[in-house]
Amino acid sequence: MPYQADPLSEKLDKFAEKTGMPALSRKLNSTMPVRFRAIPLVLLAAAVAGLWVQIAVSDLFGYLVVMIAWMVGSGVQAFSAAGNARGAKLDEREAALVRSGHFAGGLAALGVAVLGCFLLGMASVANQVRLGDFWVPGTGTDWFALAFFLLAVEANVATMAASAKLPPDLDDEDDE
Amino acid sequence: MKRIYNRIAVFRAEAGISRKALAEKVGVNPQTIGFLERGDYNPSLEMALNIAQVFKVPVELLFSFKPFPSVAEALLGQGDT
Repeated sequence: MPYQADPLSEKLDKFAEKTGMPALSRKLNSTMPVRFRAIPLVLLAAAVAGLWVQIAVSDLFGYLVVMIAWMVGSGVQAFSAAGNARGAKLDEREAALVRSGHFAGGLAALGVAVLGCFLLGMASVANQVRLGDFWVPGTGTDWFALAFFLLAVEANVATMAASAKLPPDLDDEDDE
Repeated sequence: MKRIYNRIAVFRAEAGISRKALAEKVGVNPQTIGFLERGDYNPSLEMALNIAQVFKVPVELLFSFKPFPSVAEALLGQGDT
């Protein structure tokens, strides 16, 4: 609610409210975790695109894209049901949401890692017997890109899983 | 998972305490009390006992595997006997 005493302050406050930043700030600082659906998906797509760039286009640029997808994903996760940006003591329901989110994220990352190892192993064998010229990680940035890709998968899947398990918002919280 | 019904909202209304106040006494987030009342979350035995302790009633008066009768049904039932 805009400040109502000094006309200049009131106008500045109204302007600030119109930007949406105070509302976003209130939402992020509230005790309610934010339900993220699209942003983690976009970040996962960015991580996949970054890995593709690393493999097919640039040795450095792709790695950076994957790293940014993980960093932003971790930031988003902090405000989701899988994180604890407030640093408050979590009750059993909140802690269970964090655990189940990270379990899903860890499982997804493990699945990607196992599948990736098989595919890279087969690619390596195919290269050795001259069946083709498949990409296998060779440089340091390749390995960093793969590590950040797995981290991005964990962070974003955990956010999505915890958000999906979060019950719908309570509409009768007037007594809080 | 089997649904656990509760009448926390009824006891809370009778005691005249808000969700936030109950949450503070139990040591949980007020949102958790809301989800409990709505049946979106089944509490642990520890949380159920803590809530029962706040209202000073046995835990089976607050939680049940069967739906609780409404206040009207309970009152009508009492009138019959």
